[in-house]
Amino acid sequence: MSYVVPDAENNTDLFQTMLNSLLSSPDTMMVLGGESKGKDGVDNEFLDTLDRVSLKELPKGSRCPICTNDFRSGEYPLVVRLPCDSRHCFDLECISPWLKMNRTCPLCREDVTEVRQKKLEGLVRKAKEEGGEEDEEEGWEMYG
Amino acid sequence: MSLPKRIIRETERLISDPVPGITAVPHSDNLRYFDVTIQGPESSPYENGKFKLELFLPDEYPMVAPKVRFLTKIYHPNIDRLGRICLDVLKNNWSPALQIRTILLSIQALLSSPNPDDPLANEVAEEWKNNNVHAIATAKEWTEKYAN
Ligand SMILES: [Zn+2]
Ligand SMILES: [Zn+2]
Repeated sequence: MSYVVPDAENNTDLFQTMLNSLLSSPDTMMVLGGESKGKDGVDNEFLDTLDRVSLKELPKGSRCPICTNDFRSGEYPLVVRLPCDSRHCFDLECISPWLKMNRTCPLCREDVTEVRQKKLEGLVRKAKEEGGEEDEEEGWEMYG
Repeated sequence: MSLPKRIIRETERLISDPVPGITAVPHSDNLRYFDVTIQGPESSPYENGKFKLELFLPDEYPMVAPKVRFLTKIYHPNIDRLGRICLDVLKNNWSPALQIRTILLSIQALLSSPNPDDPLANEVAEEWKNNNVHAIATAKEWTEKYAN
């Protein structure tokens, strides 16, 4: 679909009417929704590499925000934390179907893939800096 | 399919600790289907109105949002004549950490603050922006006429 914007500007009323009828159609809402950010999810690799949380770390009585069950109530609880916040923990079983369709954390709506990417970049930068320091230290030792 | 514990917990809480101005009662033959009423918020054109809605939890819930619709006729820029509601948390901004309760609160808040710049009912939205006094009078009129 293409809109001829200059013409539309000359006929604002018509354009507005067209736009309104377009926007009011439920189909358009669906399409717009489908194209919006965060609608396509993460891959299995992302899920496999989420941080596992040991039950000891979790406050007593804390619950999974999705199924609302106590994290300890499952037979083989498998709890993961999202990269956005160390307190944003979920049963792997519950967060997986959500993240396969959406990249957002259910609690803070951060794009989890972006957050992880930034964290990794930060780690690499830090490692590089530390690597640089080590080189210097070695240099000192040589002279010491 | 048996009802997930989460839905049972949410229902229990809606009944034992209801949100002020809101009721949600499940159908006895289908616990995924709720009869909802929302009291029109004070100092809004919907004040003193009692609005009926239906709420349905699809099988995929909470991976998808509940389906909610006004049954009572209402004059509001974000609610169309079929009762469909234009509200971000019901569409793109749904999160499985939200609950029936939070959704109904958002709808109640939408009655207090209509958003004519993100309209669903376009004629109403136009009226809301261009002839606000008249629009609010109509909303009050409809509330008296239909929402009791
Ligand atoms: Zn869970
Ligand atoms: Zn988060």
